[in-house]
Amino acid sequence: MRAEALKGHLDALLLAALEAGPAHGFAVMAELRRRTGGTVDLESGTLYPALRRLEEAGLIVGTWTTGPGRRRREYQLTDRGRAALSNERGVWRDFVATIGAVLEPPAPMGAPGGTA
Amino acid sequence: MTGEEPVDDYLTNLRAQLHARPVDPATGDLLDEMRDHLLCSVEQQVAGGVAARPAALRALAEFGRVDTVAGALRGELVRPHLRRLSTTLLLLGVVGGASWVGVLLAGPAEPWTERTEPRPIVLFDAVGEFAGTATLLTAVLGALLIGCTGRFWRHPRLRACAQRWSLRACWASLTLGLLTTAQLGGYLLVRALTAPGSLIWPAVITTTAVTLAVVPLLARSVHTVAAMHPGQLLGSDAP
Repeated sequence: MRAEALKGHLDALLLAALEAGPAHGFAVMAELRRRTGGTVDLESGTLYPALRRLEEAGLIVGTWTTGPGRRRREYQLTDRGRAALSNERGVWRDFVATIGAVLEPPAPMGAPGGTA
Repeated sequence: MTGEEPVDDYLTNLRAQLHARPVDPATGDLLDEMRDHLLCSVEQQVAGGVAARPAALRALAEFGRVDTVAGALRGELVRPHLRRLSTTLLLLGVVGGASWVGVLLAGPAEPWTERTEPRPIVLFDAVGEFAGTATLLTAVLGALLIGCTGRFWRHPRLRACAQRWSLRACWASLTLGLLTTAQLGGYLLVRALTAPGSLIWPAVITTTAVTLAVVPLLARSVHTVAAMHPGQLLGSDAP
C-alpha cells in the first residue's frame, strides 16, 4: 500500500502506532510495518513532517533522549492525542460499516442473515 | 562504520536542498532525528548479516529521494520561522507605531493650520494613515493565520492554505511597513526643515535609534523565510 492510498489516514496510523508507548521515528515505522504485515510501503522520510504536524497540534509530544551514541527523539501521545485517536477510530468504524454495507456481497437467500 | 558515509552525504544534500542556515536549530534537530532513523535501519540490517554500505544504500532508498523529502519538510520547517516573522511584524507595528505616535503627539503641536499645511505633509498624512493601518491589519492577519495551522491537522489543504496566506500577509505587511517608514521619514524631514522647534529632538533621535536597532532582527527573520523557497510554498497546495 503506497503513500497515496494512505492519504488522510497517516496521522491516525501514527497515533495508533504510538498508543502502546513512547517510540522514536524508526520504531514507529517498524510498528506500522509489523501491524500491517509489511503492506505499508511508505517512504520513511515522509514520516517526519507528519510527526511535526502532530506535535504542533499537541497530539504527541517529543523529547530528546540518548540513543546508541547519538541523540534520539522519542514521541508519546498526549491526552489530546488519545482523544483524537479515539475519535478517529469511531469515524473509521462508521466509515467501514457504511461502505462495507454496500460493497460487501449480500448474503445468499435463505442463509442466516439473508432474506427468506 | 562505512554505512555512515552515504547517510551523512544524503543529509548534507538534504540540508542544502532545504536552504537552511547551518545554525538553524530546528533543521539541525530534524536532521539529527533522521540520521538516527537511518543508522537504526543500517544497524538492523548489519545485525542481519548485510554489509554496512549496501545496508546504508537500502536504508536511504527506503527513506525516499532527497528532493521528495525536502519538499515535504520545507512547509513544516518554514512554519516556526513564519510564526516568528509575523510576531515580529506585529510587535514592531504595535510598539513602533505607538512610540512614533507618542513622540509626535507629546511634543508641540504641528506649527501649521489646515490652510497653511505644506503639501508634502498633507500627502504624508494621507499615505501614512492608510499604510500604517494596513501594515497593522496585515500583520494581525499573518499572525492569526499561521497561529491557527495547528488546529487544521486533519485538513492538510486548509493548513497549507492558511500558511500560504499568512506568508502573503507577512510580505504585504512588510511592504506596507516600508512605505509607512518612508512616509514617516519624509514627514519628519519636512517638519524638521520647516519648523525644527516643533519636534522633541531627544525623543525623535531615541525612537529612530530603537527603530533602526530592530531592523537587523527583522531582516534576519525575512532572510530565513525567503531562503526557504517561499515562491514554491506560495504555489503549492500541500507543503
